[in-house]
Amino acid sequence: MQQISDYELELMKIIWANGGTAFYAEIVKALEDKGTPWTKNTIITLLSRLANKGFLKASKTGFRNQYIAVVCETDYQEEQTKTLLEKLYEGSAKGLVSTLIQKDLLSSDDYDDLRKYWEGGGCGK
Amino acid sequence: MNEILKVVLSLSLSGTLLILLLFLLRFWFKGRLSRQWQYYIWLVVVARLLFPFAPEANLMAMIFQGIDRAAEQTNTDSAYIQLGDAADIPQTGGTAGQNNLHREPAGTAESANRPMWKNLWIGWLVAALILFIRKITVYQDFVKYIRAGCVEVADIELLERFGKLVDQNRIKTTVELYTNNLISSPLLIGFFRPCIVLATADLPPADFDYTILHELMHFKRRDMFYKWLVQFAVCIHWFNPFVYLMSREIGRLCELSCDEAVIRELDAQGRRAYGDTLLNAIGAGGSYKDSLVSLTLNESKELLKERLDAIMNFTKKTRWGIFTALMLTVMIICGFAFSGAYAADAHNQASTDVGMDVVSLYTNSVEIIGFQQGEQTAAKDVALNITEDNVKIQLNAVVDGDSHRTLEVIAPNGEAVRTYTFNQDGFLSGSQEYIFGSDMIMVTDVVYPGTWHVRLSTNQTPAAETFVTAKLIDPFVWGFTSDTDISDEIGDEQEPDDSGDEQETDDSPLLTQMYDYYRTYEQTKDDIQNGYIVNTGVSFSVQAMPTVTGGGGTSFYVNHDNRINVSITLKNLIDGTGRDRWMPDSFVSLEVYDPSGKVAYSFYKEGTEIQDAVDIDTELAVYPGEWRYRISFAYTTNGTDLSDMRIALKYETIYEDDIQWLVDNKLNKIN
Repeated sequence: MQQISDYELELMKIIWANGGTAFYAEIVKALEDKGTPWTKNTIITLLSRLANKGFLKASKTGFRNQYIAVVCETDYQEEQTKTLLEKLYEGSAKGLVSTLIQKDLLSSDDYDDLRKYWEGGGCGK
Repeated sequence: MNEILKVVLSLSLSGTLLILLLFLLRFWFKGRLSRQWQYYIWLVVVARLLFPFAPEANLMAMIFQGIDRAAEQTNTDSAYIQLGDAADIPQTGGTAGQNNLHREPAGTAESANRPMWKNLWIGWLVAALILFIRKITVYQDFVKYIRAGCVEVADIELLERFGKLVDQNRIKTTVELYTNNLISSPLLIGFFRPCIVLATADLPPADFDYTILHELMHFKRRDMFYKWLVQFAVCIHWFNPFVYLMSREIGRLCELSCDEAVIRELDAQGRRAYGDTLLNAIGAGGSYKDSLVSLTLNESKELLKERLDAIMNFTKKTRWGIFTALMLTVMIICGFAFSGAYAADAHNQASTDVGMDVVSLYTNSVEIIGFQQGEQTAAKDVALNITEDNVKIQLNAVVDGDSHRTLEVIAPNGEAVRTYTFNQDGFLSGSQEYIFGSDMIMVTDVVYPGTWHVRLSTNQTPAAETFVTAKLIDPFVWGFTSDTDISDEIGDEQEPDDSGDEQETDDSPLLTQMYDYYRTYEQTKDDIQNGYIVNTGVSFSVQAMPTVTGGGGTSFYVNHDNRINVSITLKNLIDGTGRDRWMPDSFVSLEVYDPSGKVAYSFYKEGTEIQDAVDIDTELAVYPGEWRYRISFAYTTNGTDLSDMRIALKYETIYEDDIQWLVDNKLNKIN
């Protein structure tokens, strides 16, 4: 899985939030709602970059362009986390968790959830 | 296929003329006409180099046809020289034994002479293809190399800035933005999925803007297509040094006109900033320089200087108005048309116009078309502009033996109304001709005004000369006028019997035409409506030797029992028997045959008998069936006393169906 920029991630989030697929018009509206109304050139450039990287599939239904997410959010998160673990914690999750705790990055609720998740041993959602 | 090379050469030559013209004019209109006009006017030159279209009368046609003729001459000369060494040359068709140097071996000598020239076009084509393919592969490699090192511009602000510029310029296609630290100056890559590649995105905003604007302008104007078109022309004309100059010049003008288009929208301050951008761009690093392949922002210092000058001196209004620009454009397009192209036609036609004052009713015959001895041309065509109504075309063809020609008379609508073939003995066969001696005379029916064509073609190399003269004649005076007097032209070898024999086997339509030569189409039409089966006759106030002999006669179909009025008038006909050995004995005869083939009526006078005045008015009973009449005569006139010969057959009772039959089969069958 390739790296995508922050802005490309924004677009992916919009598509994921829309149920994994979105029409161009819907993406434009969502961006406007978010307060970042990008120009058409920018949006399409980013979308085609995502398509080239294998994150999206573009299809044309009638006159409208539809973008379908190939990579789901959880996959992406998993990849990114793995990369993070490998890069910083030598692949050991323990290091990450201890940083989270030590640096007060985890709330107590989060900790409980995490514990349950950990002991549950499976992938979530 | 060498024809294609000839076309290319002619295009190259005429293109070069245009190139030189534009280069000369360049200094003249440098500051005065917009760079945009200067850039696009070269399209005319490129078109001239690529498209072989031109009006018929043009410079290249003249030059190249001259070369053609010279080439044929040298070919036949060398063929003859080579044949001088050859041993026994078998004679084909042995009688005409004048020249030993004849066509058959000539064929092999010619081909021995020519393989190098014939295959020259292959060399040209191979070189052109290699060059063009190489250009394409070099470009593709370059694009691959650049794309490999491209980095997407991730900065959303820049992307947005970029996006806004794209929007402002009303570009509908999505343009990508990349950086690549290997290039020395900004590029535009891609025809249909364009990408702008910068050396670095780390530019002051103004520089960024102007750079982008410049590249976007290249895209908007589709400059890459123009550039590739030019490259294509360069490959085709790879042998011509001037096209390389042209290519460079167009490249220069591409950048200059692009600048012009961008700064048109800017104010004085903006223009200054634009110039600054150009200067700043020199500093960028990078290693890949290829001016062919990409549209670069700075080619060389000179160009840069010129661009800066142009920016500084830019005024919205050019010194010369649009009108002058238009005028110049028209002039240059005329140059395009006139310099022209070689019309490479499968038949190698040389078409010339023979005007009305040359072939006319009031002048003697003029030579209109012909083949030289041994000429290689396959076909020739000459146009005759006929504006007169009510005339006929008379053609005289002078041929020697071994002629192998086909002569056609073609109406303005393209239909061949007469076809004559000269065979190997020089004899003529074909539709509606009159042969006399070895000089062939052919007369058409009444022609309508328009551009008629006479076409002479051959399927073999003619060993002898042919030339054809033409004149227009009055339809009801058909005889030998002084300039067609054959007595001077007849050679010794031609027997009069031959011409007689030729004609006996001829069918009736021939002689029908003869009689109707004395009547125009309109008159014949009227005659028929009045019940005349034939109503012919002629008076001569000059010396003449009208002769129509042989033939099978003309049939006419009778539908009802009827009577036919026969009238014959002869006056002042002179007996010319024995005057010249080729002339038939004088006589006048009319025969009418009934459906069984028996003679139903006969009139015959010969020798001195024809000199007595005759005035006959009699009747003949007819019944339904196919009848035939035959009119033949040979006499002379002395030019002092007006002669008169009239023969008419007329239905006493006029029936519609009889008339209709004559209209269908006599009047309209002619054409």
